[in-house]
Amino acid sequence: MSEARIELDRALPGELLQRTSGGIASYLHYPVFSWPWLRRRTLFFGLAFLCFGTLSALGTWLQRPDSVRALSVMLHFTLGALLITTAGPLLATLVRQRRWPRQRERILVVLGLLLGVMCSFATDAWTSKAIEANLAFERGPEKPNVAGAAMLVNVVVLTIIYGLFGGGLALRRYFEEPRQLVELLRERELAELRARNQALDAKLGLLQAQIEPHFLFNTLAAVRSLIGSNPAVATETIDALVDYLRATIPRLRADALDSTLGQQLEIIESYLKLMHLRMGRLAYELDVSPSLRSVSFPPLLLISLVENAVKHGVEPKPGPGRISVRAERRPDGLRVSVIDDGVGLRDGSGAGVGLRNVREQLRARYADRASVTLTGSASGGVVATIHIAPGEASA
Amino acid sequence: MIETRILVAEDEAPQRDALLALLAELWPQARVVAACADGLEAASALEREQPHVAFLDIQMPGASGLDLAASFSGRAHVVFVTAHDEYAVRAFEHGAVDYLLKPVRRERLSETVSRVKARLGERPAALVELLGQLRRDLEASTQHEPLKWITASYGETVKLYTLDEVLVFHAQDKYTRVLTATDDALIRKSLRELLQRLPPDEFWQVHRSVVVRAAAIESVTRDALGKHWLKLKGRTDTLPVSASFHARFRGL
Repeated sequence: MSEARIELDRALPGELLQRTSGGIASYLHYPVFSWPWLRRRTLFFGLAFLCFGTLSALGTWLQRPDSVRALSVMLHFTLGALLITTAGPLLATLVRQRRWPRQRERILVVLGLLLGVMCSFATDAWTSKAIEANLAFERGPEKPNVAGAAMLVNVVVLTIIYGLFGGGLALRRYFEEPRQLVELLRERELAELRARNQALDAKLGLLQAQIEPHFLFNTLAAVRSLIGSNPAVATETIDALVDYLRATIPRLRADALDSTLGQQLEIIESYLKLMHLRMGRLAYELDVSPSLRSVSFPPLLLISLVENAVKHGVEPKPGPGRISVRAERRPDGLRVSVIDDGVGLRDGSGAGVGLRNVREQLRARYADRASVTLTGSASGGVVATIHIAPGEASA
Repeated sequence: MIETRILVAEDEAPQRDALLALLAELWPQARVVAACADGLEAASALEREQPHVAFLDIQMPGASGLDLAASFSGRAHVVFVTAHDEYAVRAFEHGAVDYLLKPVRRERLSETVSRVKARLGERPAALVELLGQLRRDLEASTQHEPLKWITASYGETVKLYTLDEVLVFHAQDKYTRVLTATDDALIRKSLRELLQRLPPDEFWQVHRSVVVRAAAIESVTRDALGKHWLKLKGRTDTLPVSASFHARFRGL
């Protein structure tokens, strides 16, 4: 696998930041040991040290109001601390800027930071002396003969401190960056695949128009019965069936995904007419103004709701049933409702596929702008409503 | 010999008429005592007319042909009529005399008629076993199948929610509160009942009375008393987390 190359002059991808982000420390948003990183880091640390420097200057000044002395303390503190934290990273940045092969870059970056640590010893010694010289209180006489072991401990501790602030933390990030980037790319790829998968699923849902065997065979049985007794109605039933099948049978054409509300209402009308002819007790009405019929509307969603209303609402209820379809355009968007007076809502698990499919189709097409809701009253009857808020795609 | 009494139950009129016409032609000696348009009508006609033979459509409003057969078990010879039904074969195995697939054809119906005639002398088969079997099937399917939607009362109305909308189930006495991104509804099911049918990787029980959608958890915080509280994305409510569920959040 080819390793991901990090763009040095650009901010890191947003997803990485969520894991590493450091609030006001905006330098963390850039690749380690890059110029933008170093600039922001230096500014950040510089300001921080300036605050501390000012505080210690204030302290000395309170002890003895000598402005020159206080100023000297401040400058020494700020510059010294800045040098300690920045020398190593500066060298590492110079190294990284050359874009050498990775192995070489890594070795030189580490060497640069070590050199920085050494600088830190010198800087620390220099500034500490200068600051101490300025301090009012008398120190006891220096003890030059520090025991060897204590000296060693001192050096180790200082090295750790210098190391940490002088680029050690950055070094860790430097080594982690490529891995994180690879991980990120993989995650992005995965997310993309997932999104594509979802879109395909949505399309598949459309193509697998579910013509229920129960519906088909019952209709054919009805037609067969009518042929002898009432040929005119038999013909009507077959015509309605053909219209319905033509509209719902899976199509693999590209324009299968485009349709208007008017086209969808035609499908619904042929289906309801068919069911009316079969059941006799089913009445229906479509209450949609002609101006709304040309509005673009996703295919096969409304028919799914109407089929549900017949199958789960009117069919299980003895006696006459009624289904109305209404559409209206309001300022908050297009609202299309399927209203039945059937048995009402019941908990279930099996046949939820239809509604789920409708919801997925809407999500794939409109994201959060569209919704489908089912409401019912205790006495029975269900209102299923598709709402599509205004936006580019619904015009 | 006494006259054979037949009941026909079929909710679609054209099919009912066609079946009656065919029966009249193929079995002129029998008398149709009731032609019913739905399950309720058929149920009362069965009791009233006490037919010898019942032709029952399986899918009907009011009561299904299977329900009718089971409740009138052992009192009539049953022939099921169905457009397409996975139960038909099983019904046949459990004692129905025959089952007819729609559209019903003359030759097939004439076979059925002779089969029924041959059995008329015998006692009708008990179909109680069928009901038991169907009930077991139904229970098995509802227990194993995860819940996909629920109906909950929201103010004055009943509203249907798909499971993917639900963020929290919160037990309250005999009821369970259902929180979605926008609604706060009530269902008449206990949390325990619901839990069995929720996908465990999607919903976590974080408290005796709280089940949350794992993906909707925003944060878990500890208050001054050491109690843990959970906050959800997109909602302001805070929910309790019991001690035994803390471990779940250590890894977050």
